[in-house]
Amino acid sequence: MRVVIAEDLALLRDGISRLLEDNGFKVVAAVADGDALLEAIERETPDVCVVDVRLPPDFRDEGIRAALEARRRIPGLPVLVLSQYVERVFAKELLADGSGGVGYLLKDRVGDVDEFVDAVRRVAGGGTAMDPEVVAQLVTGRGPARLEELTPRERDVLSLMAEGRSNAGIGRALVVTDGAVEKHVSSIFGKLGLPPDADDHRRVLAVMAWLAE
Amino acid sequence: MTANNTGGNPRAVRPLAVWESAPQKVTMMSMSTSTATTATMPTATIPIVDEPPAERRRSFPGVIARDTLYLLTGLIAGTITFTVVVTGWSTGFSSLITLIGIPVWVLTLFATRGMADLERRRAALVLGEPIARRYRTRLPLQRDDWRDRRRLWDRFKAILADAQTWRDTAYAILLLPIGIFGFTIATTMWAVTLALLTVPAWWWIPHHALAVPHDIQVVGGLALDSWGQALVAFGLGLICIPVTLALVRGTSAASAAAARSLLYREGDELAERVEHLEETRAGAVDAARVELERVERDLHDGAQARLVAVAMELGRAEQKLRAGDTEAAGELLGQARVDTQTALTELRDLARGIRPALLSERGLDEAVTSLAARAVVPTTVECDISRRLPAAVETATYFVVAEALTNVAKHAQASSAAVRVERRGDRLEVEVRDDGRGGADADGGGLSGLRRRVGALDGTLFLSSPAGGPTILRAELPCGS
Repeated sequence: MRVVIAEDLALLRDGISRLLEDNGFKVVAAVADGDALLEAIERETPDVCVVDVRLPPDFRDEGIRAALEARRRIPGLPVLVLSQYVERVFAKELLADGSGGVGYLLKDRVGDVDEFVDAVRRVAGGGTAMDPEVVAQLVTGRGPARLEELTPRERDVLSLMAEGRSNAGIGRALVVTDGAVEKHVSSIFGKLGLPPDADDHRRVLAVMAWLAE
Repeated sequence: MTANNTGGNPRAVRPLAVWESAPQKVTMMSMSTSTATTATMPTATIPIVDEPPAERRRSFPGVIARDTLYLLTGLIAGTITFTVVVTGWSTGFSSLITLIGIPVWVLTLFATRGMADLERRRAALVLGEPIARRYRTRLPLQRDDWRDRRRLWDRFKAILADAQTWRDTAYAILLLPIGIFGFTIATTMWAVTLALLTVPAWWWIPHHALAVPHDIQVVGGLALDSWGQALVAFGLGLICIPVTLALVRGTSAASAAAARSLLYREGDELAERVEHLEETRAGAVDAARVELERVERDLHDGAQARLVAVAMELGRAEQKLRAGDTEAAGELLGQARVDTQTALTELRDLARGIRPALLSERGLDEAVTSLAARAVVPTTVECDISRRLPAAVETATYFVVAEALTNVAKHAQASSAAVRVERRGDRLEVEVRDDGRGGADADGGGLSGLRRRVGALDGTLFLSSPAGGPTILRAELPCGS
């Protein structure tokens, strides 16, 4: 799988490159700013990009803007954004086009190599990978009447769903059977008034879009 | 009226009074904006005073020429200020019903303050230096003020409530009669004196040079028919000279005194204090913001990134171990340990940049001594403080010394330096001097940062660095009693 990495700190750029190469990815370009990222994706057409939020020159949200621009130029280009802190606005902007293949993780997550690699693969496959922190912000930040109807268990399921996990993954995390998860999921959809949908990503996106509103 | 060389406004010499009176180039840095010379603070500009005002002496002809110029321009100034103020207020009043009146009044207030400032400067012709300005309210309005309508209204009300606004207005109106009077005195007296003094010439020229055949010449209303009369006129002219000089001097001094009494509030320490605090507070907020941004960036690029790298290395090591590759895992673990050490060092340096540990634990004396011991050139320390000072004062003092010694090492090419920290009453004096080549840049990044730091504590920072040295950096900080 071909990856482009955009990270301004050489220390982390090299670290992420090695980590991904250890796990069977091919890093075709590792760049330090947004313009170089856009150039690299047009040249390489990678399977997935890993982008730091803060890039030169201003170290604010250049990474998000570069990622959005990249997805405008190559629709559906999978992008995983890494950040030192979570900001729900950024998550919302990434999810806004509803086409999937996006991720937004705290940089800390790279320490859990398997999880991180899994997240990169999921995003590359058109799924989503949202950091539990982002999800927590979205779920607690909103607190409308409809969310309050959910049982604590259903909230757990919703959070895991929002992170981009499959029913099987949720089942493993909560130590319940797939059937139980499915029951929770359809109950959640019922309470939130969302139409049932077989597609995992669309389902997550719908939930996320509804949460991020 | 002490109009010539006494330095005029006593407050203007406050930051300079403590300065050596050596006739060297003195660059003064001060957060105080109450002085005439620092009226444009707080900006990056640091006024350079070539010589103390007290040294300035002016020739008598120069004084009279300036007085005359002041009187002559007074009529023009008075005409303008009177017209603007009277028109502004009456136009505003008559169009009040359409609500256009309010902005017209606001504009008039702006214009009045601007004209008052010009008048303060014009008074320097007579007083030797501009009249210091003291307002309870700032103009122009700051960007913050426009953001919210209530704040803008409060500001407007405060300007209306500021007595100085109305004194300015009164002065703008009074300047017209004052200007007319001064202009009349100046033109009449100079015209009569010059006319009388030149009568012999007027008598002589037509009679002899042009050979006009008249026995009687009429000069300036005088009918002359003899040299004797011409000389009498000349004598009268001579008598007129001191009278003219006295009248011009007196009138201009009186006009300037009127300007001073209306445009300058004597002894309003509170207003001065408020203005000073407003500006130092802005400086302090700014300093804090810059400092926080620096800390945040240092954390983001330094320790935080380093720890992410450590997490990555540990994660990869974990993978290698599971795959049975203990050698690669060991290498990664070693790298992780090195990166952890680096992160710790970076965190320690960052903490030291905020408040050095030695300073907290052992006090200013030892912290400064340790700085001096680490300095590149031999540095002596003279620290005369008996007990601990407020933490903010200690920290500021520490950074003044640290920055000064860094500059000595980087730029001064000095062979020795001396640090002196001394408590004088309720002020702490910090001085770092070196015997280097001088020419330090008061606008340099480090020094302007220090100026903000010191200004935030209501202190003042002075730099004297003539080319060829020596360089002296001195801070004075209030430190309670």
